[in-house]
Amino acid sequence: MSDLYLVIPELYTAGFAVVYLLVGLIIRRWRWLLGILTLAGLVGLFSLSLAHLSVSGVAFGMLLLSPFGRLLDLVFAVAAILSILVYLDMKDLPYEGGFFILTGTLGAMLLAKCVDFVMLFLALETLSFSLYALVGLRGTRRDAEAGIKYFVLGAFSSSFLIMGVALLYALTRSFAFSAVASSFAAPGHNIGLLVAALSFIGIGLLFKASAVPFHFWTPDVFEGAAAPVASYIATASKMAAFGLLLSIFGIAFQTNPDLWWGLLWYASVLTMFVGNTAALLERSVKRMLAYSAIAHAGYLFIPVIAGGPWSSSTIVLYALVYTLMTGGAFAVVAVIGDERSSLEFYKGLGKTRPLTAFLLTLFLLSLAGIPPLAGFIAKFYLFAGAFRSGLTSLAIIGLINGVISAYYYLRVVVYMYMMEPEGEQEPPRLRAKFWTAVAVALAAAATVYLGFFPGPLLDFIKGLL
Amino acid sequence: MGLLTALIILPVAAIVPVFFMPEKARRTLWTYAIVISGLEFLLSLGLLLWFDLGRAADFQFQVRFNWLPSIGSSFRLGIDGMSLLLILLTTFLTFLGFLSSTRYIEKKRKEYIIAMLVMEAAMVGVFCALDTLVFFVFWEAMLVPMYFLIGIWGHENKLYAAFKFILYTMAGSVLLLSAIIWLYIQFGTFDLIALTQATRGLPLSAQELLFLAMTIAFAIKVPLFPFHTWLPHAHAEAPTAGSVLLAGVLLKMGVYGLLRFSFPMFPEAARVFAPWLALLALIGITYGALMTWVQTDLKRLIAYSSVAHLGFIVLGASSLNQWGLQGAMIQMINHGLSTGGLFFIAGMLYERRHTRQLAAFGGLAKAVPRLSVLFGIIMLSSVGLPGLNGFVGEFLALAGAFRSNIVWAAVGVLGIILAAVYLLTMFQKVVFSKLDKEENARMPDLSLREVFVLAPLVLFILWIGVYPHTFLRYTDPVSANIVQVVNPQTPVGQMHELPSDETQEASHE
Repeated sequence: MSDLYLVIPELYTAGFAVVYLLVGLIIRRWRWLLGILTLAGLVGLFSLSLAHLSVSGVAFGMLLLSPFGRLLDLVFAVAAILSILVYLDMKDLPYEGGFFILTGTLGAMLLAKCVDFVMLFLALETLSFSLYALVGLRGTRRDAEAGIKYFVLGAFSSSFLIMGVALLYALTRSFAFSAVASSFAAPGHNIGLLVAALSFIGIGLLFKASAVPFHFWTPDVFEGAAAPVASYIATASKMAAFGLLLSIFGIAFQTNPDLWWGLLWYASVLTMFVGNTAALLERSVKRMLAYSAIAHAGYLFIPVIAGGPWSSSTIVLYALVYTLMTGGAFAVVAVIGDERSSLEFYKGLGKTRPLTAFLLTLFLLSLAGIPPLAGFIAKFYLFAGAFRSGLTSLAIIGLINGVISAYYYLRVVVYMYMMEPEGEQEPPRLRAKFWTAVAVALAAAATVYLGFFPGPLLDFIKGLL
Repeated sequence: MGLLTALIILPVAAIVPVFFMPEKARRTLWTYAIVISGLEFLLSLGLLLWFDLGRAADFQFQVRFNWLPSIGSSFRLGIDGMSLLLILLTTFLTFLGFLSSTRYIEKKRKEYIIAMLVMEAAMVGVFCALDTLVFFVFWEAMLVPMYFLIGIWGHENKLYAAFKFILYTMAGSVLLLSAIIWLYIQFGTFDLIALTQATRGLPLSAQELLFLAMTIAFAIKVPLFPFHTWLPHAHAEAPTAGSVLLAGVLLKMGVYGLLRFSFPMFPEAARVFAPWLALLALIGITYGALMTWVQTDLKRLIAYSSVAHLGFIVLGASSLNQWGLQGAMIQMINHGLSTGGLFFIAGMLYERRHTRQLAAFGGLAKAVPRLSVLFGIIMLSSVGLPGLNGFVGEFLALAGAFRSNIVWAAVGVLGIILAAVYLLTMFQKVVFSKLDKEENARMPDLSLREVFVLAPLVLFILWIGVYPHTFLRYTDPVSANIVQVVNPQTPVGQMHELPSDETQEASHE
């Protein structure tokens, strides 16, 4: 009974996904009604997670309920709101996608909290299968290609993961994360096999986090998928992976961090550099945002490496801010058009569509970490913490990468404001529907507000962690 | 609330109505912008009125709000004599900038006004922030509107110039931010006043590193040779008001950073590196002057002359005595007035002829006498003619350099001669040579509005030239403080009380 009480938000999400699917059967023609339903349901999830913030404990021996996990649930709820609302406005997409976003959210919620390898695998597959379905849902060739690509590579990485889990079970006779730590401490352990098992698991997780060198799927999938779906993969799925990475390194690998420290250090640096330099070369805004997502993954490795209470508050803050700005940017990309994501289509948008261009500029500047927007606060908090944890070189590499990233974010702004639209072509007919506008407005308001007044939120997070 | 907060909030709040004004209503838009920036200038005059000159080295008008209490950063503002003058310069030049833009800016007027107002708020913020993190926020926030000013309303090569400007500055910002974070971790505070006390106890090696990190960031902004390569592009491609603010205010942020952060925070390192700074300044003076000499484009010429002029300011500052520092401080204002004025005139000429090539002009003295006279006065102030403001600043800076190292002063004086050469050559080509082009002969003389733009500048040019004491007394205690910290052996005090040897005090002119 008490275990069930602990996981009420998860049960609620599962229940709401089913309700959405069933009610949606009846009202799917009225997307606005679906919009109200989802918004109400997700705001419900948000408040439920808020109410459960201080409830902690271990449920079923598999899920560690803590303020950290619940704070990440808030991030997932925001990510789901931002992507579902935009999704519902795209009439060529079937409404069932909303269901998959909700089940994906369930998977993300479980993934960020699991302390057991079986639960890890289940949560990861719940999340992944929802995403595979989402990517290919429109049924056009491009979608299908992206979906297949994502599925094949994802399944490949899952097989590594399950291989690692099996190996680990053979060695430790347990699925619990903590068993790994104790088996390292036990005398006469087989270090080679242990490391092999954990490496397999690590590969599976790095794939999810789109870390270099397991990042190749990201730009292709983002380009093929509908913008709200790409937004969801970039935000909720990735942040769940980092929540898990933090807990797995906090629990399972704590006994000999040196073994993993160097590995993660290089993963972080490589991910930052590859993400940022590849983004420089991209001419498509969606692919650029994909590489930007990779680069941000590189920054997020820094708190994972640092460890300690600071790292969990950083991950929560960064995840929330990153979700707001990336979700907002993808929502604007959806407005401009999925097929019109080449930079050429952004020429002169500042003139033809001033509000759209202004909002995208806001999100891009925030992604570039320019004050006084939320992105600056998040970056500042992250890098200040990195300096404090003694990761000076990593912090400096990260800051330099921030400068590189300014180039490609600002290039979009250049196209929108400083170039004239080609020829006398008609300004694009933009579909800024109601729910998309709501999502963009929410994200923009939060990005600006958190930039100017980050104090209360930061206090709130630090008070809990 | 506080006057300083009001100074920052007014331009930002004034943006909101602009969103709702129609783009077509150009008269309303410009009137609104001019009124708002005029109000802002009047507000800043309020600072002057209530500023306690007896405590000019202390931070006055202090306000403090909690901003990020959990990491110990608070929104804290305050000004001393140096900040006061720079804030006045900012609001003054922004006001004139709007006044000069009404004919020049033909597209996206609303966005232009918004960008200029955001700029103004950020610039004022930089000069009065007493919290290192808040300082950094304003420092960075200023980049975006400037980037738009160059990139949207600039000349042909604007995109390249805009990118170069923002990437250079951001690269410097990384170093600045690293230093700010390092100090925060070491001392647990972002409070500028507390930090300035605390950092003086750091060992020399730490001081040197931090000094370098901060100083490179500021040197890019100044710009000090060899970090100057962004400047000619940005200044030449920006629209008139953008160039004026770039030269008049933004470059001063670099010097301000040196004098507010680098020198007083790390005095021992400052003593170590001052000769190097002076060396770079001298290279900048000579190199800038030679580059200026060969320019054929009026705006690029003025831009390169800034490199040389800023060299004098840094030279004065790095002589580490009160003459030099006073020279640097007053020269910051002077350069804002005279180079700002030159850019205004370049803009007015461009509006008339749509070219910036020196060769396209000639004989303007006959065609447009009013413009030529004002041009002449502003040009001579830039040359450093005695009786005009440029002389006072350069004299003090060189007097300071003389006391530190006689070779520096000798090279610096050479720079003054070069300045006279290139500016007079330019003036001769544009204003005095034969009036052989039909377009130049038909050029209209200054309108009343344009006279209103230039006349206040000329007024201050003469005022500072004749009686600099009005302005120097605001910075006297500030520079004395810096000297006492950095170079305690050197005498300080009111300028006219200083023991004088062979040099006459400038304040007695």
